[in-house]
Amino acid sequence: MTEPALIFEDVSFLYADRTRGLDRVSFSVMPGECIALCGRNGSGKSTLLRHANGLALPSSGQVRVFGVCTKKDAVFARLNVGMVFADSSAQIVEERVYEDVAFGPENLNLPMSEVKRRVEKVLNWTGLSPLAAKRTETLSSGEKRRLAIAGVLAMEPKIIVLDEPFSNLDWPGKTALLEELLRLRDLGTTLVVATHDVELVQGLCSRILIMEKGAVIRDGGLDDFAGESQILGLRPWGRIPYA
Amino acid sequence: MREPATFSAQSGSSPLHDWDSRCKLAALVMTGGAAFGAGPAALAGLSLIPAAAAAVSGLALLRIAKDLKVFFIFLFFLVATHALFTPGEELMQLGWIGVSRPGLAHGLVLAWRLFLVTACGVLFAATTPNSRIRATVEWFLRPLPGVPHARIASMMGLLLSLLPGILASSNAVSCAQQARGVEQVKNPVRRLRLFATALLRTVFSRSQNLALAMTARCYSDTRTPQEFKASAQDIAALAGVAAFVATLRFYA
Repeated sequence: MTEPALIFEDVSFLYADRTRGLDRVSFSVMPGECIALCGRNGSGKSTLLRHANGLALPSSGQVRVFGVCTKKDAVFARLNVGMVFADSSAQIVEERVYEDVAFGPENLNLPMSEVKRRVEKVLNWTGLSPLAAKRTETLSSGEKRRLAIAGVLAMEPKIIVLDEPFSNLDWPGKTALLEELLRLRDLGTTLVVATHDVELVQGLCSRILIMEKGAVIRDGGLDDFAGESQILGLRPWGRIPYA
Repeated sequence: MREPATFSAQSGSSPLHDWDSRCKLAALVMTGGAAFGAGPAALAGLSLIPAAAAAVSGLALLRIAKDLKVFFIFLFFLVATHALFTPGEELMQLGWIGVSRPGLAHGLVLAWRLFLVTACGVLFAATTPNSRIRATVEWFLRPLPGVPHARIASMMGLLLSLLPGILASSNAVSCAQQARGVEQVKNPVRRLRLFATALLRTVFSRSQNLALAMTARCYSDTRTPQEFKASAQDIAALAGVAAFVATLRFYA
């Protein structure tokens, strides 16, 4: 039997001021699966994603990435789970596009030839090659989002978690990003997408988790939510013309 | 959006951009080091180095000068303080206070030295990407035993990453406060306090986000080492600077 890529086991998280960030969250994600994480602002989606990447560690319970507990080896989690932040600008570390994509592979202490190979591959894949020498702060929101994804892809993680990837993008930007995510899914990458744009990801994700006050209150397939368009303030279902 | 001019590398393919970063840093250290303790004649000679470098750099010098406005104000106050408060022969009388000739001369030399060092530093930073500066510092520190070269280089890289951000944040904070009528606050101290508090908060938040983003991408001190290639021209240019600086130190 295949081992889940990501497991949350009864995970709770308290912030320093004792505010509850996560409340006994349990679910698992199989390799290659794409799930959407929905819920109102402040419901705990970003906190949950940070636990997957090992940036935050549970106060109780455990998160396991390919069987390895993040409390025991957070670096293993970061190597296998790439995280795309909600604010792409905050994720960009270097001055130029090429350097920023190379940042991750260089941290892995790979030979320079391998760093170059990965960076060029990812820049081509995301269509950022013409912008390779451009300063990162001069990029548009859509380009910054693509760069954030490129920086994560260059580390070749098996799982990618994306925090509100469609926010702050215009319609062409959203559809371009969606196409990129569909390609990633087709390549077998496990995706966890926290989003308010449920109608956008209904063709991408086969399963939806709904969060409220730090807890997962619903977990089901797309069909399970039919006729529940107003659930937790989410927008009504609509048809998106997928290519 | 325009490229920030100061404290960060600008695109270009000038000889200064292409000069090996290790040679560039060595030339900067030599020129800057020679400036300390140098008299007016030596300073005039040393000033030719950044002047020549600026001429071939193709950088937008006027824009850089505008970004350094606060630095020029600081230099002005430095000269004024020396001129007004150093005892000695009076050059002229400004109301109740006299301008001292030796004070003015000393202040001007001091300001010149500071300007020279800053000009070299800005030219270096404006023509060398941060990642390259970080790698160069690490390359120079690596042979020193017991020195945490990777950590020092990382700290320097972080600082260089943050400086343009701080400049951008100060503009953003200023605009945001103006949009909400900060001009109505007549007390300049209160205005400064409002500005400084907001700027500090933004800078701390930015630093925290940067640290988080670096951690998420497995940041470590042991990174892929950068490749360096110094051509014969690079070394010849450095030798030229070294010979010029040595001559000035010896004769001027």
